[in-house]
Amino acid sequence: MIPSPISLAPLSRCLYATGVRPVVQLFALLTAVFLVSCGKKESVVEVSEVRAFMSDDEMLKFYVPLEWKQTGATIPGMAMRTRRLNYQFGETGEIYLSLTKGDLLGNANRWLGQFEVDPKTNLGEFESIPVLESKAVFVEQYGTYDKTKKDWGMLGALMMVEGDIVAIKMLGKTSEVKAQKENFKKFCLHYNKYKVATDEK
Amino acid sequence: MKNSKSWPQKLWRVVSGFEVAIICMILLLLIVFFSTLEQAEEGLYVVTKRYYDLEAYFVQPKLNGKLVPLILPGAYWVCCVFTLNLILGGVFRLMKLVYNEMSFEKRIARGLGVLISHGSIAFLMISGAVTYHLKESSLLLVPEGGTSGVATIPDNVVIEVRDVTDNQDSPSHVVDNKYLEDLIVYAKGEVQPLFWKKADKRQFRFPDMPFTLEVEGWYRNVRVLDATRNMREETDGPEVNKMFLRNTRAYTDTEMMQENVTNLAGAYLKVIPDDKSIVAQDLVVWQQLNDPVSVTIGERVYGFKMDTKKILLPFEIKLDRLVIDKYEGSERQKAFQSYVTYIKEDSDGETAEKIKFFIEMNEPMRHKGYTLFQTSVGTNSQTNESYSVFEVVKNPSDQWPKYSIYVCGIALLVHFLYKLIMFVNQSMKKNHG
Repeated sequence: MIPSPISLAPLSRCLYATGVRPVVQLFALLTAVFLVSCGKKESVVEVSEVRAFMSDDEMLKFYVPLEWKQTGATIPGMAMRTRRLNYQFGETGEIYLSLTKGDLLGNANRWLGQFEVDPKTNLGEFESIPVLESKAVFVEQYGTYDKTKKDWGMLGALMMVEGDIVAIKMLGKTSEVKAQKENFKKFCLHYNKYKVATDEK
Repeated sequence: MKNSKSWPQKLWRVVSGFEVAIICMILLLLIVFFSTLEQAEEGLYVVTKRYYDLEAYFVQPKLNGKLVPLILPGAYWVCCVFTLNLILGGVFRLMKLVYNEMSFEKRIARGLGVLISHGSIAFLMISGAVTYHLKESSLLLVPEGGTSGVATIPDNVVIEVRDVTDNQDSPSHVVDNKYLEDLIVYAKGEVQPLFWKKADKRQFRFPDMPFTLEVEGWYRNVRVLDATRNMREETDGPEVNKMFLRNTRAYTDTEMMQENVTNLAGAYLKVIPDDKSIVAQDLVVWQQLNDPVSVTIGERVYGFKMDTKKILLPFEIKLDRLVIDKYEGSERQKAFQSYVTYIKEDSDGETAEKIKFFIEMNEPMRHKGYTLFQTSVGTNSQTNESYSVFEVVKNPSDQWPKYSIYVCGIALLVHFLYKLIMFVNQSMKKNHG
């Protein structure tokens, strides 16, 4: 008889009446407990947990066209590329913003060199576009990019911000780049130079 | 002679017997002995994980950096057996014995005090289990002179989804890690936990959002590689947005503490719009991304981010002063104390409560269900600013051990006093008789 303050007599009688050996009953009980505790999780979950907006969530304030998709800005791993912002659009289009060093003419000519175009001798030969409170050197080139990508296009904007060069560059198939030219200029016009400069530093 | 006891009776006898209690106490003594010695070399966090964690089934102690030829069971499981033994043997068996007596005096004589003390110790063990499983713990970093009310849970990596159209200040919907842990893709050679069963994928729905989010692969430690510059290998994840994830072995807690390395979690997501005319979009996210990865559906833009879980506390802590004592001639910290101000605002944003507290090791701040322990201090290498890190704990059983010890003490006192009076009375009777 199991000593217990609670009478187990009715339960004992029921279990005895089943005619099943106690060891089998115990095993069945343990199996049932195990199976219940290992319940499978739902395949569709209704998410109810919500967190209030925090200052950490604040994003850079930019004009971003709906068709641009923001992707990972900094790609770690073997080939580290540091980008403050990175968007993709269409099949091949990509636009990113980064900080670089050097001078405006050198960087503009480096971009032209990627299309195997001869360098220019002064900044006056480039078009300029308005950006908030200033102007940026605008580089537009179509052709074969990086010796392999034919029928490729590039739009670029370079501007000096507190000793650094802010570079905004768009690459992709010529047709896709041309279709985004106005959006590119609008994006450059609304970029927040203060936010970019302080965030990078 | 044939033993007439049935199999369950034998089992009951063993499980509730003194032998099991003694074995458990010896094992716990050894565990505490070795873990205390090991703590001096390995640190509190590592030793707690090695000896006392739910997943620590067995442990081989270390002394002076060398393994001791002894295998001990994990403290959690020994405590489980001991608690069961205590409840069955110390409470149920004693209860039957005590409550067979009708008068209160006879019940005390039979060991009512001992019964209550056994019950309170069982309660103490249960409160330990409640703390282990139900306490909410997060870390709060506050710079000296600064104020913070946002704590993080470093080992709970979540997916956050929010409407980022026009950079609005919208709240984030949080997919907790508990829904993601059975989606883990283990790297080659990694050992899977016992009874772990992988789910292929899981879908998530969010209130007022016109899409379903599907998570298919959850990687605990990845390298994110640029697909245009790196060759994909067979075991790598698929290429999405010119990137792919390379799964690597996740660092253990011990490695992270001792070798100063961290895991970088990553995942593949699929956003399936309710409007079937819009194509589903694949995304790849990973920790350390500053801004969310975005998807446009109709006229709205939704951001997806992977981050450690953030908790917005119902109060803020201002670190007024931080005092760090160092060993003489060394940069090693000896002790540190924080002088803080607890600030709580009411619904109108007005300061409703402002209380000053002092926090140091073994002297936490306790206020309105929250306990703040001093965990560590440091200096930001870029700003040269000192900061204090507190463990913020919300524990439903925070005061239970105190209550159980009080009850146990009073019960044993009653028992011993009764026995003393009985002894004195009997001695006097003998002397007079």
